[in-house]
Amino acid sequence: MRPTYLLWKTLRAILTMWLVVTFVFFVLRLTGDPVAQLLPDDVDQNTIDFYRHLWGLDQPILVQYWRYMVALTQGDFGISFRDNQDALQLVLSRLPKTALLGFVSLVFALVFGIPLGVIAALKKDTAVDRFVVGFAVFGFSLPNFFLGILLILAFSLHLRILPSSGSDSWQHLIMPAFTLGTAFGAQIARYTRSAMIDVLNKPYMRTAESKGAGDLLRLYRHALPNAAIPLITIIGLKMGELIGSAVITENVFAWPGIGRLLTFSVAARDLAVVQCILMIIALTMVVSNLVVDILYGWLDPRIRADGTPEAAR
Amino acid sequence: MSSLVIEKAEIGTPRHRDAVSSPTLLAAENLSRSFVYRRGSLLRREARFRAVDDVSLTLREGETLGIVGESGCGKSTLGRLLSGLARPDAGSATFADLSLSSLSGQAWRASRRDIQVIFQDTAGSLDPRLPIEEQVREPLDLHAIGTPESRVQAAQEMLDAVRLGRHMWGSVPGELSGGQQQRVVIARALILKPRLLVCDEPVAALDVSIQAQIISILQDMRSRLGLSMIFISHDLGIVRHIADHVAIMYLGQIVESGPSETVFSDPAHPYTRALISAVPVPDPKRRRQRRLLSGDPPSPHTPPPGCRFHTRCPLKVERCTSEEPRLTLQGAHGVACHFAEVAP
Repeated sequence: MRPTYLLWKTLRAILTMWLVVTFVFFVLRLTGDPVAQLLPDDVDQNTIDFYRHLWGLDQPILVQYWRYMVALTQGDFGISFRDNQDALQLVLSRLPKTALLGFVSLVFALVFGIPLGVIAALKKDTAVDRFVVGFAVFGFSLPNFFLGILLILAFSLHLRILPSSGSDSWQHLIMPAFTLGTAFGAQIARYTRSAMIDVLNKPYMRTAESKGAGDLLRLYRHALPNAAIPLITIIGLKMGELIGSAVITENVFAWPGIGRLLTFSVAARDLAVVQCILMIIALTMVVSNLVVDILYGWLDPRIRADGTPEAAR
Repeated sequence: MSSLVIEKAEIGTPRHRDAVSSPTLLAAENLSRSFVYRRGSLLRREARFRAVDDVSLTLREGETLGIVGESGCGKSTLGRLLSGLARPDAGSATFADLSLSSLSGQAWRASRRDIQVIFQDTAGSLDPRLPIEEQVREPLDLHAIGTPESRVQAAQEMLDAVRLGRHMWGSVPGELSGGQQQRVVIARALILKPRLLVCDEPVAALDVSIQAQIISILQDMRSRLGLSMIFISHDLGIVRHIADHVAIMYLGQIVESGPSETVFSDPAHPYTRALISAVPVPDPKRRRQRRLLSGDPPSPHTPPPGCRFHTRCPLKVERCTSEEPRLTLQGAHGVACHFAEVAP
C-alpha cells in the first residue's frame, strides 16, 4: 500500500465529509426556524429575538455557516437547543448503545448470511437453494418496523418472554438485533450466493478438481477467498447503511441509541444534534469505504497498491 | 457403429520412443455422452444430443494420440471422458486396469496422480489470487507427496523446467503473459509426474511463435517423464508434428484414425482430405487443389441419418443417406466411409 494512495483516499474522505456537512447545514436551515419550534406560541418577540441572537440565528446564513465551520475545526459541534448540553457529548453518550446493536446485528447477519449463501450456491437450483433465496427475498423486503412489530406482538404481548422496549439486559437486545440482522443477513446471503456461483463456474475450480482436491478443500482454498473479494466490498458498503437503518429499529424498540436521538432531535429542530448525528453516520460510511479499499488491495493481488486494476495499466 | 482399436503390431514406431510393444495405458470402449439442450416439462420431452457417440480407442504407454476436429465435434467432451473428469452415459474408459467410469471419492482423487489435464482456457484455469509457485506446488500438498520442503523444491524445479525464472515465482497469474501462464499450467499438470497428460487445445489461444515454444516444452517434458499424451486440437499442423496417432472426429464420432504419417499422407475419408487440403502451405509456388466443403456442419442436436457427413460429402450417393458406415480397419488405419477403398 503506497502512502500516496492512502493519502489520496483520506483526502477524498475528508472532501466527502465536508460536502455532507455543508449539505446538511443548509437543508436543515431551510426547513424552518428552530426557535419557533422550541418556544411556546405565546412568547413575545423580545424573547424570540433573544434566543435567535443567542444561537446566532439572526446572522446571515453564510455567516452562520462560516462560524459553524470554524467551530468544527476546533472540535466544537455546538450545543443542543433543548437541554443546553454539548451536542457532541450528548451524541457520544448514546453511541455505545447503537454500536452494540449494530455489532450484534452484523455478527448475526454474517453468521447466518454467509453460510446460507454458500449452501444455496452449492445446491443451486435445488429445493434448498429456492428456500434460501425465498427466505432472503422475504428477509430484505420486510420493512424493519413491520418485522419489529410482529416480533413484539409474538414475543412480548403473546408469549411474554422478551421485553418490548428498553436496553437494560441482554434480553432487550435480542429482538432489535434480530430485526436489524435479518434484513442485513438476507442481503448478505444473496450476495454470497451470486458471488459463489460466479466463482464455482470459473475454470480454476475445474482445475482444482482435476488436481484431486476434495470438495471442502476446493471450497475454502479456492472458492471462498475468490468470492470474498466482491463480498467484502458489499458488506463494507452495507455496514455504513446499518447505522442508518438502525434509526427505525431503535424507534420501534425504544432502544436509546443515536437513531432514537435523531428522530427526537429532528422533530425538535435541534440543529446541532442532528448535524452531529448525520456527520457520524456519514463518517461510518466513509470509514467503512476506506477500510474496504484497503482490504481490497490486501485480498486481491490483482489490485495493485495504486488502486488500479491490473488490466487498466 | 464405429469402433476403433489401434493394435500394437500395426503401429508404426512412436517417434519419441522405441516402444513397439508397450502395454496399453488407456482403452476406451464405445464411449457415449449426451447432454440436455432443452429441458423437459409436462408438455415437452427433454431433448438431448450426443456430444460423443460410440467412440472406442486405445492409447499405448508412451504414445501421443492426436484428436482432431472442428469446433463442436465433441473433442473436448471426449477429452474429459478419457481423463475421467466426466462420466460416460454408455461405454467405459479403462486406465491401467482402473475403470475410470466407476471410480468414486478417494479412489478417483488418487487417480489424479496419474492423469492430469491441461485445459483450453489457460488464464481462467489458474486461481487469480495465488502466487504461481503455490499453485504449482498445490497438487503435491493435496496428495501429501514428500515433505513440505521437498515439495517447495520440486515446485521450483518444475518451474525451472518450463523455463520460468525465479523472479516470476511469486507472481500472480495476472502479471504473466499468456505463454507464461500456459507454462505454469504445464508445470502444475506435470508436477505429479502423471502417466497420462490430456491436453485440450493447449495452444489455441496463443501466438504462433509462443505456440512453438509451448509445443517444444511439451515434447521436452514428454521425453523426460515418459509421458503418454492425448492432444486435442483443431490445428492439423501441430497434431501432425506432435502425435504418433491421430483420430479425426466429426459430429461426435471418429471418422478416421491411424498412425499420423498414414493419415496425413494418405487420408482415406473425404472429410479428412478436405481438412488436410485446407491447411495453408507456406509456399506460393506450390499450387494446391483445395477441396472446399460446402456449408456448415449440421447441428449435433439432429445429426443426419446414415453417414453423418453425407450433407457435405462430395462422394455422396443414395446409400450414404440411409446406411451408417462403420469404422473398418485396414491395418492400423481405420476409416468410416462406404467409399474408403475406392476413393482416389
